[in-house]
Amino acid sequence: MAEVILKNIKKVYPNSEPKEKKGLFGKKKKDDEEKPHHTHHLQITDEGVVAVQEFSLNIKDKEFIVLVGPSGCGKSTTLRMVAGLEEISGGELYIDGVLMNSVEPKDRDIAMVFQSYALYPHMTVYDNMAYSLKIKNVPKAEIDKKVREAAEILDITQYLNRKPKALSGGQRQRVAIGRAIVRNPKVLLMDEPLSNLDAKLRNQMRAEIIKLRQRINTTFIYVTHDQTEAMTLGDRIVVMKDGFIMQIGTPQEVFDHPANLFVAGFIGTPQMNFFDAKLAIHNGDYYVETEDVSVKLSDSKQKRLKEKGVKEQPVTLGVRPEHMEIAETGIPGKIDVTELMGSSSHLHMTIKGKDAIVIVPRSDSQENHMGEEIHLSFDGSNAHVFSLEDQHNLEY
Amino acid sequence: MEKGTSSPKTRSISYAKWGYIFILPFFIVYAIFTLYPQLLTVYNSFFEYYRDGLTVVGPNFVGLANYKALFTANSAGYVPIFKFLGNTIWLWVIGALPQFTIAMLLALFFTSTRLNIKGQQFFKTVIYMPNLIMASAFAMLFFALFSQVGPVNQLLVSSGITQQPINFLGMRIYVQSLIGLMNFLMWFGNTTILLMAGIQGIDESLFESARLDGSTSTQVFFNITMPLLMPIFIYVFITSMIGGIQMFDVPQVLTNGHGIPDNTSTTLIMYLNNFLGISKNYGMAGAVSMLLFVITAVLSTFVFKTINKK
Repeated sequence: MAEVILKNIKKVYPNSEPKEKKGLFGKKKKDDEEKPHHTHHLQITDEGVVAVQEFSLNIKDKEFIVLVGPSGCGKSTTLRMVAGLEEISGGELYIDGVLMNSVEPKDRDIAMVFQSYALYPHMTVYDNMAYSLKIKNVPKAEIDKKVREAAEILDITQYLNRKPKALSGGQRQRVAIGRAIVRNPKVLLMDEPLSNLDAKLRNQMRAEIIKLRQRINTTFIYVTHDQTEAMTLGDRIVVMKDGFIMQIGTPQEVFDHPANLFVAGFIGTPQMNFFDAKLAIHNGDYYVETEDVSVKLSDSKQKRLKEKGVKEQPVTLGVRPEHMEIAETGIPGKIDVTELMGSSSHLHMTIKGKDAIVIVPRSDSQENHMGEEIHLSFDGSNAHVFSLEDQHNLEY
Repeated sequence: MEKGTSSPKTRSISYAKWGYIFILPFFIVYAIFTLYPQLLTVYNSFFEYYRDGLTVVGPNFVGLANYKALFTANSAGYVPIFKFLGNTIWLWVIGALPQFTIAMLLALFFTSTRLNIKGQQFFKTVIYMPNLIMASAFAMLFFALFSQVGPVNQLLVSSGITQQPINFLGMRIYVQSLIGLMNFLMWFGNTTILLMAGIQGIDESLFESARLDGSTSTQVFFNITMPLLMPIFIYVFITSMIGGIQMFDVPQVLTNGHGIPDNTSTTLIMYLNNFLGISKNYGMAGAVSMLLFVITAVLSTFVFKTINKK
């Protein structure tokens, strides 16, 4: 139950080596450049490795925010900075209007669910859940009431006297969530809580987190690398890469209007298909053209491109697999593999030497076989055009 | 079915014998140099078997007479075994208590991710160093340092702190303190490293979780670190206790084997060693050994059961 504001947050892990590598006689080596350089995608400056930078986000009271991105993008680091487990190198963090940068984790009124559950192995489930209340000297009767209420919500009442090692992964995760919610924290942080569960249990727990969210009134910050979790759980999602925010928006916004090539490729399963194309203007209208097709963009896209005064240029064309269809003419490609997914089929194809996936109705897939050459078309409302220069979406 | 065909015979190869062959040298050495002397010790404890001048008395079977003699008061009016058991435990306690306390503090200090101490490897090496020195050499060093004409007394007199040299090796409080100090110095590094390994084996997220749950550093130590470190701590405690009961070289060398003053620093093993001096009393030495075995077993079981109750 709190508003969380992150203002230009930065995290730098200082170098363990001396800042300046000196050559013989104390002279600075020539290859030591003043400019920051990049190694393993993260920026390395004189200060050290920059894990997160320019991170600004206003999280509303009771909002469910999901930080999503590939490994090493800085999402967990950001979460740990909110928790107080990592020092903030720059910027400001406010919880309910109070500057939290130098406040101890115990004084932030925050609970966190860890990926590894972090249950105290020597305590029973009950004691695990009651621990935070016990050390705050909450009366026993109240502790008992709160623990049993939380256990009831999470359906773990029957395990209260067990030790964590006697529980399955899913049960442990429930206890970890129970331990967090029993405190009724201002902000509930979750660091990849479902990563250690199998696919079936993960789906089940995802649904339970959605239900839980409806039952407890608090602000959630959830970290995941799984875009499905991000899309299904978040009110808004924050897509991160290499320590930077790539896009902030509702799941629908991020899916429909990806801000750049990275977001377009990261959000959506299967991944968006990309082709080399050209953005052309004919009679004042924008067209996206490949060697084989020329498609007029939809009115809304025309409007946005015109407003921005986008000129003719070579672009990367992005079309989601579900927005492509088999046609008489269009982009030619060869079917490599057909995967029957129930009501639809995924056609894994090679188009102009690149891999692509097309989702077609089941009946279409029965007519098309592996090794066959087919043509694909798409609608102008579903085409995304990205700048070749900086990979941003030309519409935004 | 074709004539002459039959189901193939299954052949199993046992690799177990190779395992036994590989561990055989250990068992042979153990049997000759450890098991046989141990059994001989038990056997001897029931016999009168010693040297009187140039005459060897025994071995004559005497049943439990040697054990009975152990619990008989001497001419000074006390039962030696009880006094020396008391000495041994006391000398161990005054060394072990600071050893555990300092080692725990250092282990917490070095493993703290918040403090992130630099040069840990150097400190670990330095604090482990005293453990590498032979106990007798260490005791010789202290003997030389604290003798009447040693550098410590010279320093004290020349700086005017005392008028006369202090008889460090003739006064109970100093002798016992020096033994405790030596044991502490020799073993705190080893204990620190064991405890550090134990703490580093605890999942870091448990400490983070406890901090988020609102624990202070003290609460984290008593509620999380200590319970999870208990298996290592029990190991450290019991091995230290067994080592303490077997304390010999430090007091032996420091007091020249006399347990001065007035046997107040004589330990059980020194007592045992006295039987093996001129008299070569294998019967009584065997009985003391057996008693030591029983005491060690009882104390270890008691400590293990008590600490590991939960």
